[in-house]
Amino acid sequence: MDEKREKIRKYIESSNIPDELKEKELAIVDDMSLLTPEVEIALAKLIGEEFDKQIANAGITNIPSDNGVEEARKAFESDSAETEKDLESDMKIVDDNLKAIQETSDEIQKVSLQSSLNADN
Amino acid sequence: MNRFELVEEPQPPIEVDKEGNKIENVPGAELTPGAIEPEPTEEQEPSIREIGRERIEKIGSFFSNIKEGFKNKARQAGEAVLRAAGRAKEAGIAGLETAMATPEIIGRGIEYGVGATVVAYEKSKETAIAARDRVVEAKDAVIQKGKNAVEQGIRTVVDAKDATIEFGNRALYRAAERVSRPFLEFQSRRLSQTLQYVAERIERGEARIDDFDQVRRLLDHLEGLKTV
Repeated sequence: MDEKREKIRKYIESSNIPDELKEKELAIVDDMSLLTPEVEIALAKLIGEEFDKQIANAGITNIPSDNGVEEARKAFESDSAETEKDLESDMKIVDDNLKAIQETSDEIQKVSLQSSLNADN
Repeated sequence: MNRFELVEEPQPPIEVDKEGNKIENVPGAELTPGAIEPEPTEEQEPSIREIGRERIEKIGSFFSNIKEGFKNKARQAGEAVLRAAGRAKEAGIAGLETAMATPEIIGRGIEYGVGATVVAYEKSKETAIAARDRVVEAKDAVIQKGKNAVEQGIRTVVDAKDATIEFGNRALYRAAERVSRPFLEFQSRRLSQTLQYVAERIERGEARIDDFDQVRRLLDHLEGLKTV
């Protein structure tokens, strides 16, 4: 667990929120299949859902959004779309490398096998 | 029982025709020939909350797929390196301890605590790209020189595999970080604006809330998360 995740954990533990929500948040923090920034995303999503649920339970719906929210949404959408593209391009480098490593390893294996066969003969 | 209660039920919007006249809701009017037909209502657009939620779910599944693919390919490449090293050892080609001593590193995939700075990401990208060139050279050397190039070849693929996994980890971490910041910002603005809207309705006597503080605490909690 990295330093930031430790800090998030401590922050949740000391937060004044309902126990049930705290439990769910700690389960997210402890989920090691998530990168730390993914933990932050999942927590923000969970908090938002809990918030929306309480508002909706009161029958308050169709909340209009203002410019600030709309701008934040647009920024999030464009940043995330750009990130997706960049990550795809980075992972192409990774894939190409791993493929080359695999091919070279196969070649080494072939040569080694041939060498063993020659030695046996 | 709900924590919030509306003082008044919200009234449905008054429907008007093209000239602005109120359309009376007469039972059976829709069956009367010549009766004014109300304009077909447009499909309600998704709310900003739904748009945000759909987008973040789509990104979440994109990340999961990328991570899964990366993990599998890194494992397959690691296994290929191990097989090659094992075969070379059997053939009596010396100097393979380095490769054979690190099976756990070879099998390693995503490093969750990698941390990330832009500099580290850029540097690891350069290293990974350079490593690939060396792997291609090593492959050519193995093809041309046979067993004389095996030992160096194994060292090269082991180094390249580590550099590639390092870069993959950093790229993933960086990407997740680039998404998390604007999402947290969007979410906190949305919640903040919603809370303000609800507070205004309370002030106007249109809503009553038993535990407004609890909802406000959720927003504070999110704001606090941003500063950790």
